[in-house]
Amino acid sequence: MKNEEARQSRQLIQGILQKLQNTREQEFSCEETYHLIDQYAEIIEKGEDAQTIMPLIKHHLDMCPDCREEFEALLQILENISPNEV
Amino acid sequence: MANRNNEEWIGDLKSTGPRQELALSDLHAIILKGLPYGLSKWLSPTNPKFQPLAEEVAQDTLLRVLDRLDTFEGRSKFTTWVYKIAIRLAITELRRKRWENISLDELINDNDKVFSARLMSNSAPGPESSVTGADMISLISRIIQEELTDKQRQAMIAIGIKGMPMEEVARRMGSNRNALYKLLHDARIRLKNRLALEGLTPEDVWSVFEHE
Repeated sequence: MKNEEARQSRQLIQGILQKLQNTREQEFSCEETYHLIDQYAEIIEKGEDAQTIMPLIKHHLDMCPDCREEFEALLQILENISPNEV
Repeated sequence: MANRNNEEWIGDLKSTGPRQELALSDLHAIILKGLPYGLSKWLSPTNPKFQPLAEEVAQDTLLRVLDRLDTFEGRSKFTTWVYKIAIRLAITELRRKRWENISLDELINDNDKVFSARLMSNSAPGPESSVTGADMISLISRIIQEELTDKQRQAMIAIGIKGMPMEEVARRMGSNRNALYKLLHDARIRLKNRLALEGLTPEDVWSVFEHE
């Protein structure tokens, strides 16, 4: 049990540290990201450089697992449905 | 099905009668066509729960699209904007169902233990440093206890260890995902500032783990 607690603590704190390394004073919120995520997904789907074009969105997706999941789901659709079909 | 550009979608959906009905019917079909791809990591289209969910999401998406038509800014294709709405609705529902029987209290009842466990390192200190990962975990645990609110700590545990979605944590806290993200951003800034007062950066602490 003690080992399990230690493992969980280590896992949690390493996760927090990874996020701390990537923390900025100003970050996009979930709402700001949602507002632009359709545009961002199209940029990614075209293979363009998202880091340069929309760095704050990319950063938020690296930090927010919920927004990341929704972005990936949206991208799956764009990658599998031809523009001519819609 | 007619291929429409953004302006044509807006025009057709803002009209009335058969013109609007046809656009709604086409959009309904487009949503149903996309959902199996968007939800492929969540629910197989062959799962008996898929079709009812997809239908409910498609209907709710159409209502929301009509309600928010004036907020579409044309930054993307209209159908991409619609898919964004459908995905939010679908995944929100799937998350809710997946976590519906799990309370936050149940999930974080070991809160204090996680941040105050007396931890033993699995390896001896490396020759380059006498500070071990276990030392750093103790330090960070103490800083977390001193700097963060109960709510911030609970959210970190529920998300970081238990994998609960932010949206579900926020719902249980009577909040929303956007506000929770801000709460956690504030927490990260506080921790980073406190580490700086201790003469450390997150990279310094991380490097201790890497050397073990």
